[in-house]
Amino acid sequence: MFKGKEGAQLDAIKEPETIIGPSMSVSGDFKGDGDVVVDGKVKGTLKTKKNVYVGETATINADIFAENGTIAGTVTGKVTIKDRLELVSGAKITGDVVTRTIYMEAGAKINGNVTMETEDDKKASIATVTEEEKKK
Amino acid sequence: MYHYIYHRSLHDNKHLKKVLGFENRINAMGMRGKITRLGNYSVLEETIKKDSEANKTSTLVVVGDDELFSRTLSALEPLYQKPTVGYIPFFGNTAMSISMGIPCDNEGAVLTLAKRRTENLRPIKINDGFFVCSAVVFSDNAQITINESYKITTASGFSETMILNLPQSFFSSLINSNINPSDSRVEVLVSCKKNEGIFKLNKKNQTIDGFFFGETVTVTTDSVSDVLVDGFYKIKTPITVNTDTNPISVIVGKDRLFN
Repeated sequence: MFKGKEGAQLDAIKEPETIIGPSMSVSGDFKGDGDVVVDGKVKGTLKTKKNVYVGETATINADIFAENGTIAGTVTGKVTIKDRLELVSGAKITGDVVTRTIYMEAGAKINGNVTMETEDDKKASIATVTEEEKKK
Repeated sequence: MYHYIYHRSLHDNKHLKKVLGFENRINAMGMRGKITRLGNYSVLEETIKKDSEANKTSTLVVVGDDELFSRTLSALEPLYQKPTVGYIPFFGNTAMSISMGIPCDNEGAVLTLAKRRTENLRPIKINDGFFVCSAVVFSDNAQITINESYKITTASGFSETMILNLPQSFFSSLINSNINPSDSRVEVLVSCKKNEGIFKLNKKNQTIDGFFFGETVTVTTDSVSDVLVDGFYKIKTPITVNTDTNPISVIVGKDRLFN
């Protein structure tokens, strides 16, 4: 349960824009601009331009898109994190993961493919090749 | 020109001394203007409409309480010509006056009026009416749909769903920092503990079960439930809330709870 400044997760979150508490269920296409804290259930898609924090009580059956992510709960779906993904002990992801950087604690699980490259990296590598070809 | 709209209870003799003191103060500060002493709320809308059509009022000042302030902004919202709106919380602190940083003493409120620091405030459409501060749904098994794209349900039966347009002094800065009455969205706060209303939420251990935002919000319930609007009138579920409304320039104090 989210308890204002006393909540452990909030040490890392200054101003969450969305909070999905343990007694809440969200279904459909969620889109946010700010930090999202999930301790409840989500089904569908979850997109935010900033950070997502999935607590240990969370159960997510959705594709996740975010800038940074910290996961301690259960996720079934594709997880696409632009920058840094942190998996806390007890986290369980069933689905593919795409991220630039990953940090995993012992006890965290991923059942799926992990791709350590983002779309930005792909564009950058294509651009580099093109530049080299031009020089030749 | 200033136009002061007086709350109906200001007719009462017990307020006479305070009313005279207020009028002396505004006269002394060169803020004399037209005064409308309301007999009842039924003439408010017509008064504001005529005033708007005449287009002579630059500042409409509500002298009264949150109900009169809310009704005034609701009446102004659809009109083409909108004066800047000031607020004198004549009977003491109120949820809206605190949120807007307006002191409850007449002296401080008049000074705030004179400084004329303004912010846009957007009344929010709720079914056939409007609200300025909040709408609170008390019900079992509320289903909340936001922006027609996702649905929220609660697992624990009874919930209190607050749809917010103004920050409140008893919310943490964590919540208040997200609430801005000039933007085109409302914040939705869901609490599954049984409370008696939004104004009882100043309990230190109050927990928040969900916090969301959106441009359109619908709330449906299994059985018809009460919705308390701006703390003074009730409607029934289902409700549809829409932020596609016209902002109104309001005079605020430096200690307001929003930017």
